[in-house]
Amino acid sequence: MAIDIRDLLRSPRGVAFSKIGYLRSLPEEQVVEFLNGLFRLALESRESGDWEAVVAHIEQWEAAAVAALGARMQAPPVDAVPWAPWERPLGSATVALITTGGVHLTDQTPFNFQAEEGDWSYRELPCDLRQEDVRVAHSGYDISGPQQDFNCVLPLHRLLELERAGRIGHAAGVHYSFMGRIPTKWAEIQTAAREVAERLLAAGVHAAVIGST
Amino acid sequence: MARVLEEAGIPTVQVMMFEEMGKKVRPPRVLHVRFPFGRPFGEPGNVAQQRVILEDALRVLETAREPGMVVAAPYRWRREDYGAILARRASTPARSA
Repeated sequence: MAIDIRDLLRSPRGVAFSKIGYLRSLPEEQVVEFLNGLFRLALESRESGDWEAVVAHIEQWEAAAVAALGARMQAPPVDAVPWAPWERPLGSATVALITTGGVHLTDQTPFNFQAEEGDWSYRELPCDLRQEDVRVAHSGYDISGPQQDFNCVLPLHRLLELERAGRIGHAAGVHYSFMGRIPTKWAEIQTAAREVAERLLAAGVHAAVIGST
Repeated sequence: MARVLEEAGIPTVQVMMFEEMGKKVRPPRVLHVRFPFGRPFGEPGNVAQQRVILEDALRVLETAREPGMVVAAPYRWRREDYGAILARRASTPARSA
């Protein structure tokens, strides 16, 4: 994956390894450790021509930085885990997909990913969705994945293949996208999710697979 | 969100890369993948990988018995042979967990 250093400096959130910005969650000595490691590995990789170690280093530190952030994140008060038992054979089930990746159709209003308190509206996506009809409006992750292939975040084509193979009953006619940035407006999230739940039930959907971003 | 859908009677499974958030929020069923953020089902264009993850997510849906269960997918990001995994699954008559 080629990264233009100018793109990285201009808009670090729009390219691969965008989560590396979360290094700011870590103490300075760890950031130094990351940079020293990166520099050393880059020198080695330049010799060997194999950049896997550099990629792995950045990904490990991304994960560590995000974990540090996660440790400080708020979550709604959680008690018992709700449970809808799975009781029907998958081969007779209608399955819907949900993404938090900010995917929308070209003729739909984009998500407001810059809103200070997030945007918890949702978009309906048809099961015959085509890549050319898709836009991605999100600033909290590297969107180049779904921009090339929406199946990274909403594997609709794979779901349709499973339907054709008889592994599931049906792919739902309508799937859903949210823009999962700033998950602190609990009331809005609940309201939106309840609306989607009602629509899924009305459409006879038996299960939902949710992809986080 | 998974919790709201579940409360409404729709079984859910959530594919997550951010384990810490999963432990805090506790969706009813979770498949945890060690993939880069933003690509929960795999790389763009990697049909076999996406298919394996989706199948695994559906498997968690079918087999999870404990609310809040997190199943960790064992796959590596790039070095796994997803085509071989699918081929093995296709040739196994009885699905095992």
